[in-house]
Amino acid sequence: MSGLSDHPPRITSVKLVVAGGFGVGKTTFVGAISEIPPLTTEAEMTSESVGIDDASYVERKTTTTVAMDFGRITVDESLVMYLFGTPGQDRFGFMWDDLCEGALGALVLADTRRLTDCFTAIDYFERRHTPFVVGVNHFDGTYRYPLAEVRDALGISPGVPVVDCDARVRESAKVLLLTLLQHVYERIQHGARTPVAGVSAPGR
Amino acid sequence: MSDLHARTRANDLVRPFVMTGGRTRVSDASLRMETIVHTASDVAAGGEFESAHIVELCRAPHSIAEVAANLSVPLGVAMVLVGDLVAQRHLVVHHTDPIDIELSALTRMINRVRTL
Repeated sequence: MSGLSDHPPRITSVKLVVAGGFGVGKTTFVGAISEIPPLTTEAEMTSESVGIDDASYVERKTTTTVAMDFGRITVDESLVMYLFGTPGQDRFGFMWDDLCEGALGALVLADTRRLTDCFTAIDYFERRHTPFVVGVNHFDGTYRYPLAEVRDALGISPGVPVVDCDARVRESAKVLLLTLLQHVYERIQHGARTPVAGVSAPGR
Repeated sequence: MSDLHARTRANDLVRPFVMTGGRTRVSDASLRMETIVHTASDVAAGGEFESAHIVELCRAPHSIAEVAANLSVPLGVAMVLVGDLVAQRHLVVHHTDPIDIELSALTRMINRVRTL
């Protein structure tokens, strides 16, 4: 770049990823907390890594177009946060590399009626060492399982925060987002600088 | 690749990557969907349609994802178009290395979210 960086101050943009099964409330969550109505963009994602540990897998590359919603929270004139909802279907689970590269952290939404839907997301972030928190999204009329039980069923490590949430309600969405930011804060404080280094994440 | 690729693509009304001259790779690999760009101050209006649109839009800083949403083009197309404009120095990139996110930035984020 030629010396001068023009007028606007340098803006740091932070990406957070919202993941979870189809229909778990990712877009609702983004809408509840974003300062703009969620925007939609299409992403072509390559699924070449699908079936990486499937012996019967024949190398093949397909592209799928998926809609992706995102929202924005402007922190100040030099810092902006973006929240990207991952495509929900499980079959897109391994197409997240583009989406998650460089993400500061992830929010996994879980629905206790379909808990297994978020396993893919949890596996993915654990493997990538991306800091994440789990929000148990409560739908009207569903039984509220104690969080300890949910944590146990998900088999996640004790260090990962699990909180109740209602993705429709801004105050509740805030708590979930704050839990993630706090979690990332603590990890950085304790010297874990690897989580966001998507490119060099081990085990890829 | 071609058979399957050609068949799936043939159904599309407009092949989005026509806008990029068929290119799907970004010239600047460091660009991400959340990367912010803005138009260099000495760039006049004009150029190809999509590029002209981006140049005008980015008079105020926008992320590439926002560029894609505004132009109603797939993210991959926006990446390539923005990459070209960056290479031509029509757009200035605000690079963010996530590794550089400091505790002070997190504190600002936390405080901001609290006020939402």
